[in-house]
Amino acid sequence: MSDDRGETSLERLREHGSRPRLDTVALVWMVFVLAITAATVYSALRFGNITGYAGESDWWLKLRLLASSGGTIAVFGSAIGVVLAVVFAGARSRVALRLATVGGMWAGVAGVVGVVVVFHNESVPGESVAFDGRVSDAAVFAVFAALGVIVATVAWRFSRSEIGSELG
Amino acid sequence: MSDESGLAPEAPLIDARSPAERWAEAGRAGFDRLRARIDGGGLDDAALAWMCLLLLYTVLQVYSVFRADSFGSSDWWTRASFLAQTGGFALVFGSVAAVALAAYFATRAAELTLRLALAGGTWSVLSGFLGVVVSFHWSASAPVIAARGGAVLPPRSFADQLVAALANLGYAGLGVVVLVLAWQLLGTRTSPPNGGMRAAAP
Repeated sequence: MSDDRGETSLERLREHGSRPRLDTVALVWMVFVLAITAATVYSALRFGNITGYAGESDWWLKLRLLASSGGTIAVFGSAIGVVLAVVFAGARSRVALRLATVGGMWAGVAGVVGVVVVFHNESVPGESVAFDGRVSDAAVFAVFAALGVIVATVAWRFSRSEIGSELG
Repeated sequence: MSDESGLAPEAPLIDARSPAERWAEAGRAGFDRLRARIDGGGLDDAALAWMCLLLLYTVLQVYSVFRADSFGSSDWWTRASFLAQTGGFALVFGSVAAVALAAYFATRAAELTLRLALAGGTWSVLSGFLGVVVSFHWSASAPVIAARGGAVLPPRSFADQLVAALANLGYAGLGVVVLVLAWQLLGTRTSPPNGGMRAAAP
């Protein structure tokens, strides 16, 4: 399974000159990641209780669900968007990087909201399954907030750097 | 007495680089080592195994949807709403990771990985559109996972249905991205590097 067939797919793709066409891929990816995140935010604010059925709605619970919207999809989706924008650099990559900045920032904000909610109300269901307690739950949200800030910072720097000017 | 560099052989070597330059050099060397490990580490086989397991996981999910008694309901719309979730986060993001790894190899394993990623992307698109259909067909007996956040959220208004459809459409769109990436990378393997042009006979 390790027969060498010469150049890798990525190298051949660049030689074919089809790289500029793929800059749209990063933009499309980020648009859909943000669409899914927006739908999650809507659901958190609209339903705001565990079952999803009409019933008691607590704002702290809404905020808890809102905090989850900045989780894996927003963070890892934005990170993948940054990688796609840099690998397939083109005219639309700068926009994709700006959208990734937004996604990362939202993950950061949502993570901070999660930390606040955890320390405000212990009865709100926690994020951590393995450990019980406020500190571990807060740590999970804090980690995602930090990941979001890293993604946002990297995306912002790429969009403003020399690479960014090449992209734009 | 001095060597070619003009220094005496016993002269101590002094690293005149700034700390930032040293860190940059160290980072570059680390990246080269990482690249060398990637090139020679059999990671193309790892990408293939990753993609196989990911598809196996998806198939098991699909099987459980048809096999399990979903919330005690045998309603086919209920089953369809859970079937629509099988092409979600794990499949799309996992397929992108496999494609990214396979793109750095020119082996048969990498090619097979890309073909499997095509299958994964296709299923994400199909399940996403199925989710869109289910979102607009909700009835009292059929719970719909509105935003695929893990909670069962039955839409209570047309706006809720639109948002649920948007979330499902989002995953279908991400599946399209996986398809395009894998297709483009596969295309470079099956077509000649010069785009099929041949030199004219003398």
